[in-house]
Amino acid sequence: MTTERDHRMVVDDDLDVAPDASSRHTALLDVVGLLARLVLGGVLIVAGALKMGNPEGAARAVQAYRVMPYEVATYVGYALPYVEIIVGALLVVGLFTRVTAAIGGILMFAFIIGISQAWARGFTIDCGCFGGGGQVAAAQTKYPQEIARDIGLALCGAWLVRRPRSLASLDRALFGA
Amino acid sequence: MAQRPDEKAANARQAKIDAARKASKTGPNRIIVASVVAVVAIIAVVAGVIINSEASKNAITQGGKALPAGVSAMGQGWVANAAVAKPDAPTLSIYEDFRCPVCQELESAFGSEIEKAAQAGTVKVAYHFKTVIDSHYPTGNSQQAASDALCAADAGAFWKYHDALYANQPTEGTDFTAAQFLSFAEQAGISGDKLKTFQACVKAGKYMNYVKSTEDASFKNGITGTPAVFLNHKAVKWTAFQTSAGDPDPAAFAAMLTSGTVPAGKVDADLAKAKDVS
Repeated sequence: MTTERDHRMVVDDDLDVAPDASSRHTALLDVVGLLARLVLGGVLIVAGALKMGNPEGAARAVQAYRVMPYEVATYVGYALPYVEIIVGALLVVGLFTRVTAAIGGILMFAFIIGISQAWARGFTIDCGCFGGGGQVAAAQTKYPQEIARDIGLALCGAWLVRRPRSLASLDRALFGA
Repeated sequence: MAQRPDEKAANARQAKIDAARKASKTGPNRIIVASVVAVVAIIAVVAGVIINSEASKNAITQGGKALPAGVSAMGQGWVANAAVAKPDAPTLSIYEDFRCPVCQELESAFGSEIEKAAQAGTVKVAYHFKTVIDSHYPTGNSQQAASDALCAADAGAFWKYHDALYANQPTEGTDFTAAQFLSFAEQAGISGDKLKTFQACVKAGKYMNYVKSTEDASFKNGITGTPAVFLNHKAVKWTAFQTSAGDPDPAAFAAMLTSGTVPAGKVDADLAKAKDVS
């Protein structure tokens, strides 16, 4: 949208900011955005792909958290790999970055809650984040690592929600965003 | 809203781009692209869920829907020694997966004690077949193994077939072969007409649905891993039956079977909330 205010802003910038310094800073932030997209999107694609071809295992992994009713967890398990791959792919190409980053971030937030409650309730399960999942020996649980990883990924999502602009995105190529 | 100078610069550039775009009236419409992407994404997820749930139904229904002898409903455990178990014998429930390595450890530690007590009728042994390994290596091979063991039971050779499965357990992540399933029957002494019936039973996957039902029922009852052992519905920490040297102590395990009660300190706290229905 072009308004009087926007034009004024251009004038302001030209007046009080050295253009090359500010554009360098913006370029740096754009690179951070690109990295956030690639990390969150890439992990989602890998996680979804590794669950493909094993719907029963994916369903069991979700059921093992004992958060949702058995049948609901089954369908969530069936759907999750597709959701992860689609959201991951949109993030990697940078299309509708803010919305897809929000969905990815919410997914990570849900995983963090799921893993935390499993830990708190004394279950000994694998998070099933990259296939696998379900019951494991107590010594094989990796709750702190799993939660730390998902917090890192959630932060990538949060960054992109706050500042969706990034280098080499379809958003920019198609819509100039 | 306070904006950083660089953001302002970027916004300014954006404004120029927008202005140029608006002036030329070209470029894709954001709303149309968003709608197309959203619709395609939703269709893909819904189609994926439908394909997966149909595939899981097919995986079950390709096998038979028969219930093993003495079982009246899907999900119930199967009593391996119903003919000889004494009426007042305690119930030993075993949840196992023929491809699970720890189940093989249980078998090598206490399998012969369990078998002896079962054949003497001093315990009622109820098996609940599980397919935990199938959910990691989705070939349905654990399910097939349990179904075939029940085919062997029809021929009166359950224990020997059971032993052959554990003696030849494939390394984790690999399968029993179709030829092995048939050759174990001959090792178990099944021959003649019984062998033909067995082969037909294996081919039909006669108890595939039943095995899936015990896996699901036990999972819902909180028994998610294998093996799990219950004596009169009390979870047994079978790994605690050890000699002072740290080896399995079959005599102590056998004594527990005879007594019908799990000694203090040998109750499995991890399965405290699990419900054994046998």
